[in-house]
Amino acid sequence: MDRDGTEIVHEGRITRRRMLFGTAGALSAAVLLAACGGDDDDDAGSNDTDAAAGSEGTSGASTATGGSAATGGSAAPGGAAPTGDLAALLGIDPASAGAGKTIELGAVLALTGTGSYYGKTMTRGLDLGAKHIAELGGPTFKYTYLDHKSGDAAAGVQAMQELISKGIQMKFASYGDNIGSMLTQTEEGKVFTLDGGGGTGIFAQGKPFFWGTRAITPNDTLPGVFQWFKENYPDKKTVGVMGWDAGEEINAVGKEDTLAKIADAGLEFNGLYELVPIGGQDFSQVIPKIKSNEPDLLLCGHYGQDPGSFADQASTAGLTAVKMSFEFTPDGVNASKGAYDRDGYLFSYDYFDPKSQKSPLSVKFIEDFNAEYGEDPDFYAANFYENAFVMWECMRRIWSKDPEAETTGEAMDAALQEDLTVVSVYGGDESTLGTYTLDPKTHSVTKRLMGVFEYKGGETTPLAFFNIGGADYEAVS
Amino acid sequence: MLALTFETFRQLTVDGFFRGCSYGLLGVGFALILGVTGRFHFAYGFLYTLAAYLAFTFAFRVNWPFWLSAAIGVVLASVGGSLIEARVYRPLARNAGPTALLAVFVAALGIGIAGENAIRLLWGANTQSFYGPTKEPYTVWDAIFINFDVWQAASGITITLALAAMLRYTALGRRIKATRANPDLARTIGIDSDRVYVIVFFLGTFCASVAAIWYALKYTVDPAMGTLPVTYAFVTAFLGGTQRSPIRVFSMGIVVALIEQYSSIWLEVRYTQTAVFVVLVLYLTYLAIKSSAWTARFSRPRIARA
Repeated sequence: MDRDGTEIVHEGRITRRRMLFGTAGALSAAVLLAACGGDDDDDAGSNDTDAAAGSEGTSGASTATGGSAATGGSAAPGGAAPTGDLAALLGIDPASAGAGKTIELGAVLALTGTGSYYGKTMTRGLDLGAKHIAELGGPTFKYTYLDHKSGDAAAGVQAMQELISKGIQMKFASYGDNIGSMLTQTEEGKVFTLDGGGGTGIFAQGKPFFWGTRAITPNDTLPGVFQWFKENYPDKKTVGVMGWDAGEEINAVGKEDTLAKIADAGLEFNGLYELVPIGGQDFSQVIPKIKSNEPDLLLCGHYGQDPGSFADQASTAGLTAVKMSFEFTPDGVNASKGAYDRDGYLFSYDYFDPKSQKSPLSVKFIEDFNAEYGEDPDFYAANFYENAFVMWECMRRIWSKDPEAETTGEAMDAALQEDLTVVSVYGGDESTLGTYTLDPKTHSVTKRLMGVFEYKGGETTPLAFFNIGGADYEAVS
Repeated sequence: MLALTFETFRQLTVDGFFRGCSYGLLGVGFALILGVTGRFHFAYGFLYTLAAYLAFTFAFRVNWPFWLSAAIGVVLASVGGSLIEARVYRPLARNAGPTALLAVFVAALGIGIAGENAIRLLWGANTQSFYGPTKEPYTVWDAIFINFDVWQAASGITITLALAAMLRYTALGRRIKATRANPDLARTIGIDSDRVYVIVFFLGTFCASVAAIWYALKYTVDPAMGTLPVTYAFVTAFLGGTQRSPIRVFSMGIVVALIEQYSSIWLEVRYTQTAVFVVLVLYLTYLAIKSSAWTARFSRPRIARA
């Protein structure tokens, strides 16, 4: 037929062109890939990841099932602490450890968008946690990774629908359960949730089934920060604030709490409270305002790369205030273009300092993380790694009563509330594991090690350690 | 109430001017593409990002000289713009017929999103430091700025003037203007509109790419860096007029940036972007009123007189 014949000729012509373009495209891609190098071994975007050690072929599940014998553990893949010692420290009873079971868990993280760096490091922590749990005789964790697109409320709601429709009743979350948008479904679907990325914040406290496992940043750190400031700058009094615009409701409670803490510390709020858009790199509007109203201490409540860009521009503009930020990331270092290294960068939060960790779990985590990913873990990787262990701890509590019991969201929540002090990779020493403690009312942490640190010239130095509310304050000489 | 000094005002003005040069250049490129081809080129932000990443790659992975790397990044991204027109938009527009506008818009949106995520996959999600010449601060009129600000302004003004001159005095410029006025009619007098479209996409992306290099030098390179510029490019192009001279569009970029800067005197910084959109809405309302039947009644006698 004419029509068919025409199509064939047409298709043939396009095919040759396509071949030409395809070849050119492939060559370009090859050049591009070569130029990019192997920078990123990112697998964060994958879904339904069976993250257990089984895929490694190390028969992890049988490595340390004996657990309690201090001498029985074989060396972990990274050459870290013997898993037998670790099993004993974790109090693992092989009967309730869950070996042979496969547990489905969700993880709704920032896998794409501006915060995809966070999603990547969090998935690394979770994957390594699952691998170690299997090595220690635990179940196989099968994660369903879903994307909230770095704070997109609609994406978060959709992810929750997907998890609930799959019958998954345990999940890891970030961004304060995606800045509150997923909290209703978390409660209605009875999905037991640990948020080690954003915590509860001030706005999501006491929400059923939702637990924030990191300190509320920056508010939990402020008493300790002010104590450090008063000790080191006794003649300075005024405090100003610049931070992210996180939405009216969150901004309001954050401001009220911050101003109250400034007053409680005997310092003086100088009237500067400027909120800036999330993810902005150009601070040319806010810096002149700060300069005209410069406080002695400027609290910088912004995150990711933003503090780096701000530090660079503040340095050029000649701001002299002591600047205190509340997060330290490689993105910030890169964005600072040398300002962090040159001028120093002060920050305060529950920062994970790989150099100061001594507990067997921390050492194994850090060494294996380095072996797996070629770099030290940051605090997001640490938080999600330890939260995988917290999930397992809750499961073991359930299985210790009935080895065949279902790990429903309700059962997990009840199991956690039996003892709200759980295992952590922060703190501890050579013979004990670190812990953190959650509050039964607020569902946020009541005890978590944090401090004031300074990054300068490629080194991070602790200046003071304290707990929530400035408790147990200890200056580092 | 926060203190506001004259020094603050001067700093806001100087920063606004330099920032406006970036908005202006972005607007010039976007207006050229939208005005001539009618394509809502949402992938503009992706190409902006791509230019910076390519320059970064050649400078820091291949270790070529900075300026050569920057030039290659700009040219390759501009070629990418032309390829998108030739290989995606044009075939789509032809096949879509009356719904071409929507088809191209959706395709552009898709390329923008897929492109941004492809950059994440290829280069990683992390922010990358982009170092070039040494940053040098200057203080004039008690306002601080850096050498990159000056170079950004100089390149923006030069490109805009060159583009305006090209459109006015060269044969290519006349072909572009003829195509902008009526592509079908232009075809009947022997102008290859398809070729003009490809050239326009090259030139428009070139403007964005140059702006991207300065942005990367001043700040940093990250996969989402093109999201906001495409919005400002649209606002600037729309307020400046997509059928108007590049000089007018460029000037509008400075006006937009100054509105943003000055609004921070009265508003919190978080609301200054909103201020720009309020101006856009007011302008749209003005246009609507201007063309309404009510105002037409007053202009009819003049038409009659003519």
